[in-house]
Amino acid sequence: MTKSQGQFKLNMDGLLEVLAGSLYANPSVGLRELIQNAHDSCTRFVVEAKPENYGPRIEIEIEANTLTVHDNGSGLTYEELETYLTTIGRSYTRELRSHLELFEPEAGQELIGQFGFGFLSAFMLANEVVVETKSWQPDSEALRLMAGGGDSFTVEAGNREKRGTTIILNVRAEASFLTEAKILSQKIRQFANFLPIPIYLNGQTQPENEMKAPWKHIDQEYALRHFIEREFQMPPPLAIIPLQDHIEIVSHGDTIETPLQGFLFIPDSTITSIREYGDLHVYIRGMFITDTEQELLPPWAKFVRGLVESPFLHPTASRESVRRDENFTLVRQALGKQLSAAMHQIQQQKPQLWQRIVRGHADVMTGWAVQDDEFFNQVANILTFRTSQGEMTLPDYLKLTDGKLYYVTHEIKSLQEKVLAEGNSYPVIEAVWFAVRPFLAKFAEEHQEELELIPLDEEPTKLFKEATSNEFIDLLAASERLGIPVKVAAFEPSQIPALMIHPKDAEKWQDVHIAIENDELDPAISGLVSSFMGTRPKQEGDQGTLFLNASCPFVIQLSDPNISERNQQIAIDLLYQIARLFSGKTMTASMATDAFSSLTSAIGELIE
Amino acid sequence: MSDEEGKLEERYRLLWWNWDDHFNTDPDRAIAMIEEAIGIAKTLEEPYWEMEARHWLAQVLVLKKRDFTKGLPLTVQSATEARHPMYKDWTTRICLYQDLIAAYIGVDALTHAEAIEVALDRMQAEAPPSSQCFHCLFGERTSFELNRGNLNAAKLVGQTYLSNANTDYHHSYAQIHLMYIAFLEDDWAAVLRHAEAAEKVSRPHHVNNLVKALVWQAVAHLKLGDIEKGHSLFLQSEAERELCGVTFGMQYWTGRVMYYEFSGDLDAAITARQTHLNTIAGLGALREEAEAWLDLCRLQKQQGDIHLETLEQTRTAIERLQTKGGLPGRLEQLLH
Repeated sequence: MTKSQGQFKLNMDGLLEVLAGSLYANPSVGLRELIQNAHDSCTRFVVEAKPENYGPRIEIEIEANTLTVHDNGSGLTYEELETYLTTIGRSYTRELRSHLELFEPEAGQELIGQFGFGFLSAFMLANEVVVETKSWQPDSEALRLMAGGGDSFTVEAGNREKRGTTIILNVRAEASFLTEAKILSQKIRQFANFLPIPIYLNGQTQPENEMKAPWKHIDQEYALRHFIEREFQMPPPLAIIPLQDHIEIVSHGDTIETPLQGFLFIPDSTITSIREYGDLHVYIRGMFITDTEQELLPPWAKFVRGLVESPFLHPTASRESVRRDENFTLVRQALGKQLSAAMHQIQQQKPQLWQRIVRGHADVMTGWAVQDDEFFNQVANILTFRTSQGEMTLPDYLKLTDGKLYYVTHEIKSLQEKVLAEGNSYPVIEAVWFAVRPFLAKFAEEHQEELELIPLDEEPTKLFKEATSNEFIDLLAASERLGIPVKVAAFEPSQIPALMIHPKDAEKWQDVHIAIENDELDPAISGLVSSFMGTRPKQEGDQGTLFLNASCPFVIQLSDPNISERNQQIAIDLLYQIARLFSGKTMTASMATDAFSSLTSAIGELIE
Repeated sequence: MSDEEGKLEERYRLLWWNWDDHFNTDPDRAIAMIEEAIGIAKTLEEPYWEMEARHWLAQVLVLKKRDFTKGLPLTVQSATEARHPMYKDWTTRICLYQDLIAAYIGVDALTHAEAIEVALDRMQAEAPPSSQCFHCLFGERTSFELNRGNLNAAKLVGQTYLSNANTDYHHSYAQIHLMYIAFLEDDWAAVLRHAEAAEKVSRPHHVNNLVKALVWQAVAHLKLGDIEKGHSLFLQSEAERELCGVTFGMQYWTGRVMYYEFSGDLDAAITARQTHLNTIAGLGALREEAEAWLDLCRLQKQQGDIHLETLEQTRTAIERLQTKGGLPGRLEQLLH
């Protein structure tokens, strides 16, 4: 075959069907495009005609199934209708903005349109569209364009007297919800609330849109709270962080300025994996793009919501989401930095508010800090943790414990742990919520050389100090002959003579021993369980070890060689039984019976 | 119920609903969530809730982390506790027993073969065919036969497991087992067929099996001569592995080693096996460790000589096994 060159062709009917039917996810987007065209028409009139007294306005009317959008903007000439409105992919606004960027950049920022697809969206709302227009340019004629889908349209002389454009749509059944005044009003507010041009519905005297973003109000705080309650349907947030243009120094003398407006807010609470946020409403040049943007905030910011307005962001062609490009990354970085700075400021200047924030979001904050090193570095020193002595940051905590992190993975309710912790004046961290322990582990890893992580549930003896056994040698021998496993250590408070310490899961292992001894296991698994217990390394003290307190005056007195061994044994037995009860471990009926029989016999000997 | 108890109950429910989202992607997070739930159940004195959470903790430790030093004691304790009359008609009781079996299969199926077989027989007789346990038990039985080297039995049970499978989960595991059995039988067309089928049913939830399915497709394509496709599938498996936080065992690592061997990169194959050994070191997978050391000997021999340290480690690993099976003989063969 000989080599040949060809050119792609367009099937207009097919293309129109695809663009009008599939470019946008929702027919109501068609309304947004019509409002935006009307807005740009008014802006264009200001830029091109430079009128002295001009009150731009957009009016929307519904009557039965007819939706009409009027503007008093620049209108269109026959050439403009041909060249721009009816040429898909060619946008007068885009070309005008490019021109203005050179001469009047601020005026260019006001324009929204970009792609030249917007008019197509009218066919999502209606099968037939009529455009009545009259240009501002001298001697322009009124024109009427009629299009009924497909690739053809007709233009004829119109009878519009005033400058501007009117679009008349005979609304399709699938878009008929927009002919409900209440829904239409909602949609106008959703899409165009911050547009500076008033939009009137059905001849009302008050515009539907507020025309001013809440962060531009004099009482910004009040306006934002009210806005969040209404638009995000949320109770008042804990904190609101207004956004501002972000200037980043990238190298010596070079900066990147990211234009940024809007606000972030921290709701009252989140729950990891379950009720996380991290979503933003996004506006570009005052026009609504999306209220479900999940990737613009840094991934760790799942305790934050907000609204961002930035002309730096680029919409996709359907303008229902934002393009993931270099500018997207810059805006995300800017948001991350402003949020971090705000968190640090709150922690420094409003500690009580910071505590409420951390309490409400502890789960998500600690969870994401474990997962994300960048966030961890930001919050490692400012997150507060519940301890037996109140909430505190880890650096403050460590000042009290000489570089040791004591924690328990349950609420500190066992009297024994409380006594141990308080006796040593060490606060104990409640690592009840699941992310706390991995967070502490990460924190300890980062400070490898200075820090020790001590799980008191598993290693309470870490609060003990070594004691020389020499002076207690007789006492230990007496205990051994009594069959009670006893060790000596020094611990605070010194008033406590003894504590019963069980290794982790001691009760469960006791239960396994009992099940095997009493032949209670299900035959299906008895072989496997017995096999395990047969090879399990012998654990010291599954039944618990009694630690005598070498700092306790009573224990010192008891170790006096002048006391008879029998009396020492009676005393140790009493301490043993009390310590068992005191340890917070469940006792079986036979253990309780043994305890009481030991107690009564010891008391009996004392009475004698 | 007090407000505080109500909040804890709600919290337990939320954790319960959500922890399995992290099983394959971030099992440490899942473990932390389950451990918190166990603490809540203890505080609320809800033994069923505690046992339920302990079952899922065992699942993550044994199946996702392959940490038998922590998983096995937990399953022993839970299975023992389940003997109490209050759990008699509680369906999760069988799951707790299964966890124990799964843990022992992972530790050393051959040494404990007799006890595992008794457990499987009794439980298969007990589990109603309409229950999920019924399917899980076929999965365990396939894994058991495979791990103790009964290929014919493994294939037969694996096929039954597959034909009965009622969820993507079971389909996925059945195909992965049959894929590995086909590899051991040197039937590469079957390896590819099962790996492709496993890929289909493993997306999107069973990413651990997806990684295995892709790596074995890669190996099979290399073996069957489609080099380009093999490399492409290997890259896909690498991309999926990035998203997967589980600790992989013999089925994955052997696939990876074979991929490098068939690519002619013996250094990479040796590194892969060493990584496998580092990954499972100290986790209590005794037979897998011995097999992996032995395979490292094989690879090093292909390269020249078996390193002295490798040989010592292999002997120690074999020595630790109560029932050594054919391992000492295979080592001797390599040495001569």
